Amino acid sequence: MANDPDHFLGKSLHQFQRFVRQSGAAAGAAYTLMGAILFLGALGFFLDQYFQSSPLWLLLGLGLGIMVGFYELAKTVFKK
Amino acid sequence: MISGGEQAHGSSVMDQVGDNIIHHVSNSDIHHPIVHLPHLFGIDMSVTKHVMMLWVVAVLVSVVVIIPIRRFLRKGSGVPTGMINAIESIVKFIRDSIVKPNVGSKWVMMWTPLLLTFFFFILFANAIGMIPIFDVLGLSDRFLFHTNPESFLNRLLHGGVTATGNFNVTAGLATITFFSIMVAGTLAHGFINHWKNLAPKGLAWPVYIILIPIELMGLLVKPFALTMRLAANMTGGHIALLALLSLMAIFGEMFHSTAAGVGVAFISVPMAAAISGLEIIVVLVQAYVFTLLTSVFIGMAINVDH
Repeated sequence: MANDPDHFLGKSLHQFQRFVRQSGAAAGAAYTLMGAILFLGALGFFLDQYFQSSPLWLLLGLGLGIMVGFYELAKTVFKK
Repeated sequence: MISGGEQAHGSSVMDQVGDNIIHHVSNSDIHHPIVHLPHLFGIDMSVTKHVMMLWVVAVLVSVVVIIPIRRFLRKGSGVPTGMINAIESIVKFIRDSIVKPNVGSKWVMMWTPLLLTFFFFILFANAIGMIPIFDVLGLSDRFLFHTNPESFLNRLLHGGVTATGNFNVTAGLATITFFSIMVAGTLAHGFINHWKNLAPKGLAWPVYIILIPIELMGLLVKPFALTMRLAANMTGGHIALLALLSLMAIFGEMFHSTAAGVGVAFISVPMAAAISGLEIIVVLVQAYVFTLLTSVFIGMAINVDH
């Protein structure tokens, strides 16, 4: 049934597989953007706590996080 | 909801509810592990509930996946039946729809076993968290067994059961992903070329001063995103469920009436049931997304195109 390409279940499964193939890179870029901001922001926060320099490192970390995240996103969007 | 014997008497439900929710979703307190073991190289080797759940998951994966496959292969029969049929569909889906499009035909058979291991392990660890094993044990302990607080059964009642809701577990899985990315890139291009491939070629040298640190940070960010995403998603659903169920106790106390608590139950229990239904989908989706992202990241190290 699911192996028959003309059956609605087969068609749905093939369509689903197509979406899966296409969504991988986008999902990776989206999670990397979020991860970069969180990771470098948190790193900045802890550095601020250590050096008592709030909010210098936090802002630097967040800025760097946005840069790294968008760079990874751009790599996916402008892929050759 | 409110586990016995630990709350400060006299404090309100509102004061206790947050602590109880956190207590429920977190691992055993290090002072109350399930099994006390000595320190090794300065690390406390005591078995906490999440460690025990990891062992349970390992046994489950072996019983449900590995042993049936081994038996099927030993039999040598070409036509899969029953459980093997279901496993075959999942294996084929992951190999053909997730791994192959990302890593390519040349490397698909090399990376599929790792990604299948991730998928089944995370799926079982997530799914077992939806079964209220320890809540039932807690209930029976409270009304039937009345065990000593230091007994094995009582120690089982501290903390949640979703091992993948523990950041250390997901960090461990993401570490494997990190090293897999390194190994995949090194095998495909050689050690030196793998590192050279990090940044695009042919740019002016001052650009590399900015680009190389950004790329290196990008390398660390990928496993970090995997760690946070899985643990946060698995913990978040359980917190939402418990918060909804806590409304009964909160309203009961607010209006000093059992009827108010029971009345709220008509809304909060169906909502909790609906979220439980959603959690069943989340269990599957989270295992799938972790596998997909790992395969995308490995694929990016193999098929470099800036």
